[in-house]
Amino acid sequence: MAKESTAYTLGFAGGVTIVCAILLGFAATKLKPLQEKNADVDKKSKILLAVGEFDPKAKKTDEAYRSSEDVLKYFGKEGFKDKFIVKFAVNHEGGVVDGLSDVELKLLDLENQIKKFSDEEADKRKYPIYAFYGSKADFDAKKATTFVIPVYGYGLWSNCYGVLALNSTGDTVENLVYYKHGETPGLGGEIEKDYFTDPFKGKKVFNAKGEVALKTTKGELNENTVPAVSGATFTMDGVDNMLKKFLTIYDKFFQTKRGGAQ
Amino acid sequence: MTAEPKEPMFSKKNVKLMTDPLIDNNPIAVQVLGICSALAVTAQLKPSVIMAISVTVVITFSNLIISILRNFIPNSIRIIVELTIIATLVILVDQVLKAYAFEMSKQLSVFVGLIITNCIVMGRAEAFAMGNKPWPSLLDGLGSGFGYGVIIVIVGLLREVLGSGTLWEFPIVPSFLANLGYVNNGLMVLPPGAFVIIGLIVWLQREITKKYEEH
Repeated sequence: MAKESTAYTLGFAGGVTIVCAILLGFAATKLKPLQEKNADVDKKSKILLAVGEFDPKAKKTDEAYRSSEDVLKYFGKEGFKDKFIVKFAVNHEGGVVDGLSDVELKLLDLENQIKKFSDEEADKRKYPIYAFYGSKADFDAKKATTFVIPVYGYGLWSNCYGVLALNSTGDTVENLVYYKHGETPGLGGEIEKDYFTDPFKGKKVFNAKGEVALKTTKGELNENTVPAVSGATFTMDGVDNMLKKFLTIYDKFFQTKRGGAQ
Repeated sequence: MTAEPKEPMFSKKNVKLMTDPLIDNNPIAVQVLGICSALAVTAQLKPSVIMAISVTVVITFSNLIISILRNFIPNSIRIIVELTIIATLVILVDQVLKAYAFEMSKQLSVFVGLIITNCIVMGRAEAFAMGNKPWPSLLDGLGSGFGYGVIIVIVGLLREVLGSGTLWEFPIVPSFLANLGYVNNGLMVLPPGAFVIIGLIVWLQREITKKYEEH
């Protein structure tokens, strides 16, 4: 067959495509378990970072260093050095959802739940939440030191994903960590920097009237507000929107905690 | 069929293929290709080295494969075939990084994927591999990869030392200097710092080779 004939050209193109596709498919399948483990460890280390158990700058010899095995241990039955993190689910009324299998719990994802059930069907949603126990005694007594809620909201280019650590009654922020976003580096991308998230530490979720008031601001700071990043107005709107939405949703659960304390 | 006189594997001509891109015909300093990633990933030494290795792997294998196929590739679709092969190799590198160097792959993010559009890879495939035998093509690819790598590793090294005071993430600036008022150069952390260093490298390179642009 002539090299420049249409049939040969089509055949050659088809052949190259098939060979490349098989190669890539093979590589992707073979490497998938490793990649998923990496992504899992990465997300879990961000949860640890939010509760102050992980230092990304720690060297291997430091006390604060956590290997990927250590990170996974926190989430296991045995815990890591008597510290535990337990994932569970709450429903739209704030009650704890019982009877979920390990697999169901593992796959439970906030964004999936919100997409699967519209606001009209909100009562069908199960919201994932993590409880951090700082000691074995607390773990046995089911007295969480910190709760971590997953959060996500729109940004300028795509959704931004993070985790928000709240104290045991859900009215004070302990930390905010973004782990995935597609914002412009230097502008919206600054949301992942410490100088943006550090001021969240210790901020109150509610104002004097009891409304969710935590947000970014360009004006004066008070116990509910943190400085916004200039040049990233749209991203900041997304951050505010996200905080309001998920703090309101999860507050039904925290109300049960505060009710018990009083 | 008469056999051509066999050329030794590392003949003078073949060695020149490999050494030429290092200084005399450097892809970045002379051909000014691949500048985008040279600015973006060179804030530290480690990502620079990973990027240099990735590009060298891609360019070497793309040159080799395209050279093997060169007599079979129909002329009308040769660019798209080259692109498909390069893209496949890049995705393979990306997948391997995601599996074995996750932190690095997050840091390099889109720039690994963008190796596909790196003009050096496409340029060598089109200009060299399409017209030469597999072995010289492989050497040419290795040489071009090293030529690119040498520059970004130098830029990464200087930017990390001057910008962050560290080398391979270990602090190297002694603390007494900081006490005397030494401050890291913030410009070096930002992309414009790479422009300055690449500019200086081009100047140095021209001074050594004595080859100047004619006006």
